Amino acid sequence: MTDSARETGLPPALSRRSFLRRTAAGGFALSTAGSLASVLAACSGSTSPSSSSGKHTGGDLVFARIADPQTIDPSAAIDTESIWTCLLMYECLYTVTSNGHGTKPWLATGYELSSDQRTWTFHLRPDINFSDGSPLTSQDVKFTLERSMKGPNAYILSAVDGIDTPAADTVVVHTTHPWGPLLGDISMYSNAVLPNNLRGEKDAAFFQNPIGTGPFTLKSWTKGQSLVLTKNPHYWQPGKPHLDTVTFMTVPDSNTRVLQLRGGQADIIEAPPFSSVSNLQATSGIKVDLFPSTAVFFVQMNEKRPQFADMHVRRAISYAIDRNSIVKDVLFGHGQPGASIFSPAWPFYDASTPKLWYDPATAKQELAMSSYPKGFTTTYAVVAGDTVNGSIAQIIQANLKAIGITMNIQSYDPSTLNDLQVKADYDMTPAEATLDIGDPDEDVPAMITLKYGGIDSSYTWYNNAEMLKLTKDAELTVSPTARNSIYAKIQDMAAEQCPLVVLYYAPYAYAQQQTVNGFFVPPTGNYHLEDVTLS
Amino acid sequence: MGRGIYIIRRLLLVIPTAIGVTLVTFIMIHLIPGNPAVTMLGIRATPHNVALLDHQWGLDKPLWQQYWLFLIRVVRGNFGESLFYSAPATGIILSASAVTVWLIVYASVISVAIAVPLAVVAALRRDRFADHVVRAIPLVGMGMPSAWVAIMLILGLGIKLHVFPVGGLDPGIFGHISSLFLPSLTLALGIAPVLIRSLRSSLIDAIDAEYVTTARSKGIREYRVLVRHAIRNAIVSSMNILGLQIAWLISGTLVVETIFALPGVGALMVNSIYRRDFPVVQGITFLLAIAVILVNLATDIVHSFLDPRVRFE
Repeated sequence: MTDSARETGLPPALSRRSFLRRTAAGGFALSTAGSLASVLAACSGSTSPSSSSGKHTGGDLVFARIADPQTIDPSAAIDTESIWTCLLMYECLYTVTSNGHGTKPWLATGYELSSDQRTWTFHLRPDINFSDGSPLTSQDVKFTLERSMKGPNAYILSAVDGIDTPAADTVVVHTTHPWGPLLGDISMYSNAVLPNNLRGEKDAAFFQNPIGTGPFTLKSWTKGQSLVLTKNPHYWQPGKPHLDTVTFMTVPDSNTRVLQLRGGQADIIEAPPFSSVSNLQATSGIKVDLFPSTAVFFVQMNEKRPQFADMHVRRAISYAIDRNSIVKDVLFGHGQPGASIFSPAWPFYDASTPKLWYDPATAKQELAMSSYPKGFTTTYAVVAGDTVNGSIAQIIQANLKAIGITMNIQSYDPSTLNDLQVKADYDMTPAEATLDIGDPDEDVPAMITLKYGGIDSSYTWYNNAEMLKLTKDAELTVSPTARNSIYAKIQDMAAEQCPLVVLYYAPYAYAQQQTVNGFFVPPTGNYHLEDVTLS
Repeated sequence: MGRGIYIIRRLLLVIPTAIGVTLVTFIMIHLIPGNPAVTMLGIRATPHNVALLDHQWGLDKPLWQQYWLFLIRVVRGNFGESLFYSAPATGIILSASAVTVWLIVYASVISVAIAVPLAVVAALRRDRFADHVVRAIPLVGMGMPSAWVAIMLILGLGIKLHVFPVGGLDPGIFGHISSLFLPSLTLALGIAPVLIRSLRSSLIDAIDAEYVTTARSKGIREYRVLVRHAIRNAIVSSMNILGLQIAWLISGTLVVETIFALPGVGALMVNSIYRRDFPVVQGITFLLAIAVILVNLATDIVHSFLDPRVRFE
């Protein structure tokens, strides 16, 4: 998608990222409309790398991001900037694998599961110290998990009913039922380990100068401007991190980020506009990466409106939308048309799920089978200034007109649109879901179950008892093979009933100076900057 | 009435104006739909989490009580905690204001530096080639949107020639001077045309005025006639225009702050409105209202020094 899509295409409902990026777009996209990107990219110019020392260790990495982090308290984090910053300072017992499909041991060396599948015993790595030099113990882990269970991300540990610390290097987690997503849940950013009792400090004091086991620690944070991390001298991975410092600059405007990269002021920029990707790739000294992501972009339809409570209407809409033109015209080809609620980067993705692709004839047949065979008039709500979703809305408008549905496009500011969704006072609106862990259970309950995931099937009020049962079965099943078949059923059922009309999957785009080495982004988005070097 | 009493009376008027502005802002931001807790929590916006945050932020109290608490805090010089950053709003607003104040002062200086020489040349060479060129500049200048001017300056001076940084704010006085040059120039190019026009026409009036003829007849040198008599008188009316432009700049730096990635008040205000970060929005509105009032007052006072005929009533 274009960069404003990254900024703005994000959903009102599913993730905090959406709001931030939208904010960025709403406030800023207006100043330099999308077309400027190509002007900028087309103008050639040499770039001067900000670091040209030739060394492979040390240096300051300047990283321009869309938004400022909201917090550096992992248990309170919701927006991606906070999450990704926290995960450089604090770490979890397990972490997501680089393909996003599972978890791997990180601060733990492994686990044992009891025969009743309700007791998980984790063994901590022996060589881990916090950034103040003190050793990591099971008490720290117990404190962290219990603290996280009081924060806004508490739901992720809802199955946990007790934590024991039989030894300094052993943590035992008890669950109320056998719980399939537990390893994923443990790898959630909100469970990144903090020192026991925050070393006796109050939250505000502790997070002025926080202590963690991660490769970097906080050096300074000027809110709205920049956040600087410095190397943790006690880091447990030998020889890492290579960098001395990382400076995160907050640069909401996508074109400005591109200019800062081209002017040599930034080493890495987040989300260059997709419209500028090919030009940036052709610029000497700059490289662009499109990392596969878990981001799923879809349309929510409010089922409190009778039209959308009719499954045939939802199916007709899915068949009516030409996703190839969305990807080609709006995302400049940098995305993948999609129809399943799971993207290929999700664990348990099933490639054989039926897809209700563009097929106007079938769309008309579906509409004929509905209670609205002659069509109806509806409204598609987007965030004002969101050029990507605005363009997508126009394609959908034309597609739906072809089958007899008249769709008006209405713009709102992001908070207002959020409010309309919570109050079920909208018809259709675009949204996005992303995973932070290697387990789909982070999002599935929120996306397609009522009264279970917290936001009522992504504010669609889609209500299906079997879907709810499958969602819970997938949680209560530990065997990955068994879970795979349950999630396959969920994907099939979501495709058949279309509670959400999925449009496309888009990668995480980053542009860097050629002098940056080893920068990698897993599908969950949390980059490991301890591996990065500057040449 | 003397100047002192006038100033005191104008300063006292700031109080009801500021209360009026904050009251209107308060009512408006609470009238528009959107709950900061829902916005902030996103996928985690369960009714339980929302209620917890509403309580923590005092948003479950009656509106009049919330406004009263806000006023009490303002009197103590404190705008409350930013909902988004969980940090004192005052500090966040002040650090953003510093950037914007720098920008405005810098832009004013540059615009005067551009406008005065050009206007003088145009007025002295009235209806000749140089005058036509200078008079064409405002037409072209006013037709160029600042977003476009900014990008062109970045491409030319930032990326091609590497003379100035393309964005962001470098620390230190010299860092500020260098990194704020392009954004200030962008703003100055927006104000200068109006200044040139007004200064040129009032200079022409002054040059034709009888007191200039008198000065010349006394044998005063032409340079001194120009500087002491003509320009000083001509600048009075342009001073008012510059004051109005500064008041406009205070609320109009958003585009430039955005393009140059400057963490100023404009960007903070827009983001805070989107986030429904009530304390920050109210704090900024309050400070902006006061700033605009004070700039207008300062313009009047400077005017009175430059033009002794001005009397306060």
